[in-house]
Amino acid sequence: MSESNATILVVDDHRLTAELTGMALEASGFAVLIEESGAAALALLAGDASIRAVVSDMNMPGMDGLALLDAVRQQGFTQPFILLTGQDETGQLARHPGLDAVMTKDETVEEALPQLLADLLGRAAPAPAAQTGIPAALPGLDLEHALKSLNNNWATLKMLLDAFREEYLTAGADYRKLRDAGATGACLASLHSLKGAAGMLGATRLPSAIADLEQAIAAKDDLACWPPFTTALDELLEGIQGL
Amino acid sequence: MARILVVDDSKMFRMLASAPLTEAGHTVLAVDPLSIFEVLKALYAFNPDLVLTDYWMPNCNGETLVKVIREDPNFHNVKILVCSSHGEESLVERMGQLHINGYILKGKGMQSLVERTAQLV
Repeated sequence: MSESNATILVVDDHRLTAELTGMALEASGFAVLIEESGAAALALLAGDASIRAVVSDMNMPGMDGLALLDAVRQQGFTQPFILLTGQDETGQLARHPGLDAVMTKDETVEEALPQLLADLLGRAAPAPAAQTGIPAALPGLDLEHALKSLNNNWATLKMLLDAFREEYLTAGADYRKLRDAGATGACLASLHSLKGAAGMLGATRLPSAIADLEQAIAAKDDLACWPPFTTALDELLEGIQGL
Repeated sequence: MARILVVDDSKMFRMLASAPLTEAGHTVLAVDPLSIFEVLKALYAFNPDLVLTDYWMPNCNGETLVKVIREDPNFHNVKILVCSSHGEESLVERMGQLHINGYILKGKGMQSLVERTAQLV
């Protein structure tokens, strides 16, 4: 992965705050993952080697930012770790071992945080996403159409694509398990929901693959329709992951 | 620009509908229809110009929701757009009898939603 779209994990128990921080980073060309607790962040870090830095809130219930820092260092994560905190704590926290930077949560974060991350990751200041970061094409998706419907706002489309990937990452295996367990109704309801989301997003192959599968399940002759479905889903998910 | 209430049991769809409508300049409130009463609470609190609702929802049938809105004098001027993955002719015909203002398929994508909404509000 190139530095221009390095993946940053944002950890904050307030989802909206995390999304605002994430949007500031995405606007500067970073890819962003969000977790709402230290425990979830640890689990994600253990299974995702692509994460290049962690930006964590200090005050969170359960595991706070410093406890998370200690845990990720014990887990072997050596990449930059930035703590976002209140005004009064910065001096004291900056001396904590293993911490790369402390930043006060105020109106300067939006501009200063992407620059700090760029410095820590050893690269030039990122260009705005409006000029870079938009791929020419995404397999299985009408990218141009999707962008047009969002007023050409790439950051919003990227947020939707990431949410789609997070929501349906294991859908292929999960829905097949439902079918194999005889839970046909639940399987069809899940496929129906995915078909709607994929269609709204502008997926080109996945909706028709799901429609074929739905018909085949209703006719109890669906074995041959699972591979085209999972291929179309995986193509889209892998394309999103590569952004 | 209009106030739009999005009703769908799928979190992903609520995001996929809210994002383009917000980008188009509308004020959007998206609700998870845990029951029809939840939707009614949102209707009274938000006072939308348009309701965009799914049809098949486990805890809040779209057809019932449309009937309830149409029978409430407070919402006589509210436009209703039904959005579904189903395109069967019989269902479209049935929706037409409910005095809704439009029926669109999710498979047509976000741009279709923005355009149909713009025609109504």
